[in-house]
Order: sequence, then structure tokens, then C-alpha cells
Amino acid sequence: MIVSLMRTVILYLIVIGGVRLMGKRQVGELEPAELVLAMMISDLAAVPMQEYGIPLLYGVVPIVTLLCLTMLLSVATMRSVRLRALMCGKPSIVVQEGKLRQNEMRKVRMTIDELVEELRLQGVTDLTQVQYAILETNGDLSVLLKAEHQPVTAAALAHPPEQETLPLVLINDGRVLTDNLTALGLEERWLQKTLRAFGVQSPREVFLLSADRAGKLYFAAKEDAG
Amino acid sequence: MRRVWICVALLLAMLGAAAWSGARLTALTGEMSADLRRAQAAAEAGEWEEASELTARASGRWQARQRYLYIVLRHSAANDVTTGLREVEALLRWRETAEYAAANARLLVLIESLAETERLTAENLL
Repeated sequence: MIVSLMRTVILYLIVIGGVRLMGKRQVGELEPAELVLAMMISDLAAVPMQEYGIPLLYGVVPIVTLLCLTMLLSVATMRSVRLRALMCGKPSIVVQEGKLRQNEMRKVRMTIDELVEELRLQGVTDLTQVQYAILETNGDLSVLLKAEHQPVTAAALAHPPEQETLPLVLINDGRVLTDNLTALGLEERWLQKTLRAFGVQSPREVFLLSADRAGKLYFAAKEDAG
Repeated sequence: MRRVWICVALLLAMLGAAAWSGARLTALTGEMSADLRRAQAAAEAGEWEEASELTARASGRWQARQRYLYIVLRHSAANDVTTGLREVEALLRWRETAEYAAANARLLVLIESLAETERLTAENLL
């Protein structure tokens, strides 16, 4: 049992490390090569975890090899447009100016039901409103509506609102994040004054305090457990 | 770029380690096979003591690298060889000529197949 436990820990750390090495894209958007990697790794890691008679290296070596090859391939595809098209495919325009491009749909084996469903998921029910619908290489459908059907923006109304800045967390569950305090140009004295204004004496009583450059604050006091 | 070099280094290291391990296994199984064949010839000539010594030497080589072997080989394959060596040693003690010859031949096939499966050949690849 201890062997299984240790093997699981080792393989888990290797897989997590490898996926981390691949970068953030791996988590949400799987290109074909990454999808293959995810499927193969899960299988390779499972076998030596359960079967004591198989050396751990029989799982580790293929996993590390796959991770390295995928990394090299992703760098190569970044540099070569041709290789990228070969490995990841090209985006396909399936709707152009409200008209279905049936040849393109056949090429990517997309049925009309799938297209309509994807459009509905994006809040579009009328095909004639679509300027372009593009099937991306990761399988997502990007939809660009015709100008007259696009939602009104503040810029279109010639009344741009003030740009909001990113709020930073200053106290997280009782802990003061001094780096964020400094980043906003604030001091401990300001923090103490602000806390008193919210009716608390110490950061330990605060669950969350965030602020942005415009001085907008969000405060949540700690609630009693139970 | 650093990640690329890490990947290249890892791949080269694994390739080197695999080649080194294959060569080490080939050398070990080659030495053991030679000892076991000489032991077979000695037993056929009635030299039972010499046959026992040669088999014990092959067994010693195997035992000395057991940890390494269990790391790089399927445990069932390594266990089969260990069992085969014990069986052959016992048959030599009892001087069972026919049974010893059959068991030794089986053991030789097992040992030679270990190195064979690690070789980069078309048969193994396909």
C-alpha cells in the first residue's frame, strides 16, 4: 500500500509539474497535440500507480518524454506558421455575411444542429444577424454580429465612462498584503485609519479589504465561525 | 527559450540513460549466458563441481545488480530469472542431468530475451 501511495505522489507531482511547464493554455484550451498529451498522460500515470510489478520508470519516462516533445512542438509551432497550420489546423469561417459556407462546414464535419446550438449558446438565434462565425482551432465558435445587431457600447453613445482600475486586496483573511499596499501608494497609517472608519481595530478582524487607485474600497469583516 | 533547453537536455539525458541501461543489460545477460553455457558443457562432461561454480557465478552477477534490475525491468521478468537460477542450482546439487539441461535451456532463453526486448530493432519497435 505504501508503494502505491508514494508512486501516486511522485506521478502526481510529475504530471502537475509538466502541465505547469506547458503553460496556462493547457488548462482551458486544448489544441490537438495537447489533447493527445492529456489523454496519454492520464493513462500512462494510472498503470504504474496500480500495478506494483511495473517499474515506476515505465510511467515516468514516457510522461516526461511526451511533455518535452509537446513543449518543443509548441515552440516550433509558435515560430513556423506552416507547422502551426499542420499541427493545430486553421480557423474555418462557417458563416460569412449571414450565409452558411456549406463546403467549409463539410470540411470541418460540423452539422447545422451543432452550429445552431453553438450560436444559441452565444445568444444568437437568427443566422442573418451573423457577419462571421469562425470555428477556432480549439473547437470554440467565435461569432461576430453585423454592425446593426451589435450591442450598444458607451463609445458608440459618445459617452465613455471613467476607466476602472484593478482593485488590489489589502487584507486577506486577517493578513495585511503590504506589497499591494505599497503598489497603491498607501501606508500603514492610512490602513489603520480606514479600519477604524469601518469600526474594527485590527486587520485580524477583517476577512477582505480591497482598494483601487480611485480610492474605491470593498470591506468585509470576519464573521464568527459556526 | 530556457524551457526548450531544459526539454532538450531531459530528452538527451533519457536517451543516454536508456542507451546506457540497454548496454549494461546486454553486457550482464551476455556474461551470464556465457557462464550458463559453459556450466551446461561442464555438466555434460560430468564436471558437476565446475558446473555448480559457473552457475553460482552467474547467479552472483544477477544478485549483485538486483536493485538496478528491479528498477528497469518488469518485476515478473526479473522474478522469473531469479526462480530459474535457483531451480538450476538445485538441479545441479542433485545432479539431475536431463532436468538440469531443460531448466538451463529455459533460463538461457529467459535471460537472452531480457536484453533482446531492450534492443532498438524493427521487431521490437513494431
